[in-house]
Amino acid sequence: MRTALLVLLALVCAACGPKYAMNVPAGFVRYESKKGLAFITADGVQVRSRRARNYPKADLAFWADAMQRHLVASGYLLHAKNCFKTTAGLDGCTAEFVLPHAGEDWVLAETVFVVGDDLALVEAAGPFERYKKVSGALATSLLSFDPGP
Amino acid sequence: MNRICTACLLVYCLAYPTLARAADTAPAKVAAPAASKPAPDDRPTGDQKAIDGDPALRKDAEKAAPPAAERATSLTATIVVKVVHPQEVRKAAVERARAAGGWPTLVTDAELHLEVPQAALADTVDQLAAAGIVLQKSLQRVDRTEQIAQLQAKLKSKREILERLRTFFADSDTQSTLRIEQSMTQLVVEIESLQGELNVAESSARTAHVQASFQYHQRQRITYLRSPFEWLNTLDIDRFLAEF
Repeated sequence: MRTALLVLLALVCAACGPKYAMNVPAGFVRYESKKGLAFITADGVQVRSRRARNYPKADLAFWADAMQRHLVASGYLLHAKNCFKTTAGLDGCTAEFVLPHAGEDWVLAETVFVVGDDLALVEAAGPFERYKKVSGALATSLLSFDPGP
Repeated sequence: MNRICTACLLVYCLAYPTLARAADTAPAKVAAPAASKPAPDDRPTGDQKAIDGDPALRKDAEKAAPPAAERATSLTATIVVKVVHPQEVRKAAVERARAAGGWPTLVTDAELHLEVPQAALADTVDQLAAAGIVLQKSLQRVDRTEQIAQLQAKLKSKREILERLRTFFADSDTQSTLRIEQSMTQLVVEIESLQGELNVAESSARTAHVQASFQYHQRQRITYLRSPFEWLNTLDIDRFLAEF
């Protein structure tokens, strides 16, 4: 009975997924109720995290390159790319893409971290002018990203 | 003697189209102009400076002629720059272009096209780039040297033919005069057209064209491409916004 309970607990914990942590960027507020990280500014720039499978297993440089090629081929314009190390020593890469959306220029920023068999993604999007106002704060905040246990 | 002259004239008039074509295709091989007689007064109408070539302008052009190694190049710079206040940037760019001797050719909310002297091109583009975030920048060079040389050679040979035709008026009878006038009128039309083309080519080699866009719209919409890497297929602005 005790073993069964432990197995059940382990399964429940696995289903919860990783608990990513990151400082709230200046100018953003956090959605506490959403699964994973979710931030938004008063003028609608949105940030959220999600997990993807690192399959086939590859390193950060591979995925950053593949992502850039895929989005550029789809019509996104690579505007900036920045690879960095978090304060905890985890390597990450942010690529900012510009795209026409709803008659405006928008930015879709994708930050990738390789965490073992998983990829931790932090995505941000918003109209160009509004995004650029907070992009510095977001970059600073990404340095504090922690993929959790 | 008169009969011989008239016969020569008729042969020349009949052969003129062939001569003109030969001058078009091999301008460098055109012979030196024949000794010219004073031109008659009843010349065909048209812009005489364009037809004969303005001596003053020609002198100026010779003075300012670039060294043989220098190429006549037209430059087009294209820049997509995101700025917070496009109106202010546009106004400042137009003022700077005017101060440098240029002028705007298109001014809209999202686009600004400028013609500026080639020497001012780098400054104009740099100042536009400094006003915001550059998304795209390119420079296109088109060598106009050959085009200009060909046009000048064609023009020269047509003017020489025109001069030669004028010399035949004195001894020609009525029918021959009519034929000569017809040929000269045609020649004047061709010379004016060539002079126009030459003016445009020379102008484009003197000024640079700047196309500034304040909005990125290289592609009107995003196309969906299937990636062999599953998670890359989930990178999409619409999905992101829908799932937020």
